[in-house]
Amino acid sequence: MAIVSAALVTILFTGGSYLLLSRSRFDLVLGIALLSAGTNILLISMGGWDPSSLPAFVTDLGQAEDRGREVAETYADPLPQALILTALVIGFGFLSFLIVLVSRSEVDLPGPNDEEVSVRGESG
Amino acid sequence: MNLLVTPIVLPLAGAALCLLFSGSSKNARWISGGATLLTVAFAGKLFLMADGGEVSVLRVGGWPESYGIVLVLDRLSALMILLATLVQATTLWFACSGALEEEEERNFFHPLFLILCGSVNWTFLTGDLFNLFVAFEILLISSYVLLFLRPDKFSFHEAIRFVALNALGGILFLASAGLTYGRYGTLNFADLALRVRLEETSWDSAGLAILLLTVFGLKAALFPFFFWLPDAYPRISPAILPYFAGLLTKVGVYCLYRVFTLVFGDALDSWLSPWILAIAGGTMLVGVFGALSRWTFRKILSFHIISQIGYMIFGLGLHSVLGLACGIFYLVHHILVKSTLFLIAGHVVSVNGRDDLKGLGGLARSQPIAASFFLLAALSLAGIPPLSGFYGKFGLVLEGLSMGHIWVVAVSIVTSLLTLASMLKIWNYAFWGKPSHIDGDQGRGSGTLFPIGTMVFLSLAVAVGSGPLMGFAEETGRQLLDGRTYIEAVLGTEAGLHFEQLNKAKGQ
Repeated sequence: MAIVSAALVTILFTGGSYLLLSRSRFDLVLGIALLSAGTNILLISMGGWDPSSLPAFVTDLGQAEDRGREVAETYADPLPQALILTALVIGFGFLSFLIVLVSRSEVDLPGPNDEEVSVRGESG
Repeated sequence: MNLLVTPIVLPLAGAALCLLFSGSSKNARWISGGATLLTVAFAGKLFLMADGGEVSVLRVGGWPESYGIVLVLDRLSALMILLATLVQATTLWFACSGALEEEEERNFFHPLFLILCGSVNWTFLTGDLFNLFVAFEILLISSYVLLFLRPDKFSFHEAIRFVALNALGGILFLASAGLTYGRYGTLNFADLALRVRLEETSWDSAGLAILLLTVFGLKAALFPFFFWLPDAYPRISPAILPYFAGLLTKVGVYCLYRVFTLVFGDALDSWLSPWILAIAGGTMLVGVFGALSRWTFRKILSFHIISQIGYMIFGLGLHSVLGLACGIFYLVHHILVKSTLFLIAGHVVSVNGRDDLKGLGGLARSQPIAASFFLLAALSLAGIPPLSGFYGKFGLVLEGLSMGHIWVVAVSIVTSLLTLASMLKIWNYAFWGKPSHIDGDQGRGSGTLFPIGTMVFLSLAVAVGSGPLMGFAEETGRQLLDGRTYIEAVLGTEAGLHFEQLNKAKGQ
């Protein structure tokens, strides 16, 4: 499972980076989407891939610390799951903003003409 | 220590209230003004708390620190919060006294600005990597929207560089936070500092250090990653620009100071320091050359932000008490003076309707007060002796010489001279010479002079009170370099002792 997730992260990062370098605005959005998906998979694999582990739960909040130690062998690490939940929400929010930005830029934001893009793209 | 949440919660609550009462801009002004003043008051209280050298910790929800969220207040974070709230207050004052266009205010200026301020304070208080990421993202998203307060002024091409690069930075940050957790099993700074030191220096920790240097370097506009800044900043509404210029890149600098003293202090001593010094030198030169070649007020100032970040990183690269102290002193000076200069630039733009140097002229005669404010701030930026910029630079040069980094010192002196040259360029073209034809609104300018005057007064106060301030900066540097009080406060006395033993063992 670790190899599969590593391969997936590699593919997503490579594809995302490639798309980011493209001049098309739509490719840029796709590139960012791929990169953030890759990062999320990276994040979830940081909890480890133990097929025998169970979803974590806490019965008594007061004993959270003891439980965290006691169940570490059999329960899946809940922290990466909490992290990825936050990261997903942020990533989704940002992506929707980016899509609106890109689609509106086609309509009513003044953009440089293609010539200017190529000149400035080379210098930057 | 529930007080610690106030600099985060007050602006965010203010933002929510502003949205509820967004019908009239008058209500929004009252709410955001009130929230800002309260935040300033609490920031002052927190500063006094941290001044004694005590590190205060808030465990949110009472969870143990390795699992839960901690907010930590030490000298550096208290100082940063105080400065951030002061700049927030003057920027808001400036915005409300005439710099803000009606359309901008309708486009949710107040709630967005308060969210931005709350998240900036959040980055200064947080004690773990993931919360830092969340704070960064909130900061970025609110700043993206603030870019488009006046959509007609912003071309997509310039915006997208800002947005895409910062998004890339966020993705890298998330990846490095994940890798940190996978490798060290913790995200808490104090815990991480202990666990990194428990092992021999390895490729893993080096890779992590480089990743985080990239992430924060992108945020701070360090040498290879500076190019998103100078195109975007001059386009931002002049009413919000002082806060952007004063604080946003400094968030990156703060993170570098925090992470590279507490967590990667060892790495800095053993191999990273020359690299950071080289980056500092490159940042100074690139920034100042960029500034010399530009012909508009705000573009020149934007490039100067980059060159001055170099000085702060210079202080970090020296990694000694005096080096860090001068870096921090410079940070204080820079935040105040840079915001002042951008306030003046905003004033010039709002009065004259333009800020290209060739189109301006004779402002010294037509607006003598703004001109004298500019002269004071510009000379201070260049580091002319009685003014505040001098002390930090002088200390950095001395400390750099005593540690034998002659090249960086030489670069910093050249940069300082070139800074003076480009400030004189603005002075010669915009303030001296024949008054040009003015197509702006002459009447609206006088109200904005009061917040500018306040900021000039504050930066003069830094010069007058440079003795005590340098003392405070030195204590801050010592606290950063020591690290023990921080770890003791977060993880307990035992962990602090353990940390010190590890440090001693490494030192021998």
